[in-house]
Amino acid sequence: MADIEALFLAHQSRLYRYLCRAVGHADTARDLTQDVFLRVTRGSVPVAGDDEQRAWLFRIARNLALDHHRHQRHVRAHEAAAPALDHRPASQDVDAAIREALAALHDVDRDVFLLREVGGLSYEEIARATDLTPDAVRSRIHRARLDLRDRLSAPIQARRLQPMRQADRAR
Amino acid sequence: MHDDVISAFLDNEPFDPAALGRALADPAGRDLLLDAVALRHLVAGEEAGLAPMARPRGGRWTRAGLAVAAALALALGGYALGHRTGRTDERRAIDAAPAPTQVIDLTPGVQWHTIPGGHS
Repeated sequence: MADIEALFLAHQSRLYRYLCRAVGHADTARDLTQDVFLRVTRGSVPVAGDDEQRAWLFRIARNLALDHHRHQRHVRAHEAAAPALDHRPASQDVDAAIREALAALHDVDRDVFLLREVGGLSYEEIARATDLTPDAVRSRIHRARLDLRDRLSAPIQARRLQPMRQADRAR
Repeated sequence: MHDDVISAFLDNEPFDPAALGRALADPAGRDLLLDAVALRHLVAGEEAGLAPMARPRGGRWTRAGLAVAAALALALGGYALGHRTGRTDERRAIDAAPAPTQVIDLTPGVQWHTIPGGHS
């Protein structure tokens, strides 16, 4: 139990952030992160290296996010029909734009991209978590980046005017 | 296009240095690299307010823990305050003379002398 808890605690922040982007809602992400922990405690941690255990955790998170999406499709359609808010703060506009851009990606491309950028998984770990080959992961991440670059050109240009940290900060 | 060598470099994955050199020799390649880094910052959520979550398990325990911590803080604070106040009073007692319990007026011209065996 202590090992499972330690494993979860070591990755909960990234899991939560990944789920935030994957489902687009902080409260839901919080609930799903708790669900990940419940699933983890019910199962048994694979006897493997850290990388494989991390991939296993994110695979659980990804499956929960996919389940959530299946149940929420009609809700999202309803929300899309709602009138847009005109007076949101700029930060919320950017966040909404990011959510929309991510939602527009192919499901698998979005998953591998978020597992990399927010989850911090390597291509090999993502391949394990998604049943893809590392080459396919590499190709999909690159495609997602190009797509998001087009969709988010204004926020990206604005962000480029601010200081940035090292490129590989998601690791 | 610059293939995905820039992505591989950005993601700390194995890449062909020569291919990366060619990609970054092109202004468009450098632009892609900077855009990808900016995109990473945006999506990672710091700007979007994706605050780290609290310890996810046992909200009640968290509240109970806070209550215990608050009680301890109050108890320790009270003790510390009392201790400090006590020390202050103690120092004040050392520094200042005690209040007199009896006042004897000095009357000029009165002959004072000791009476053996007692006083009147």
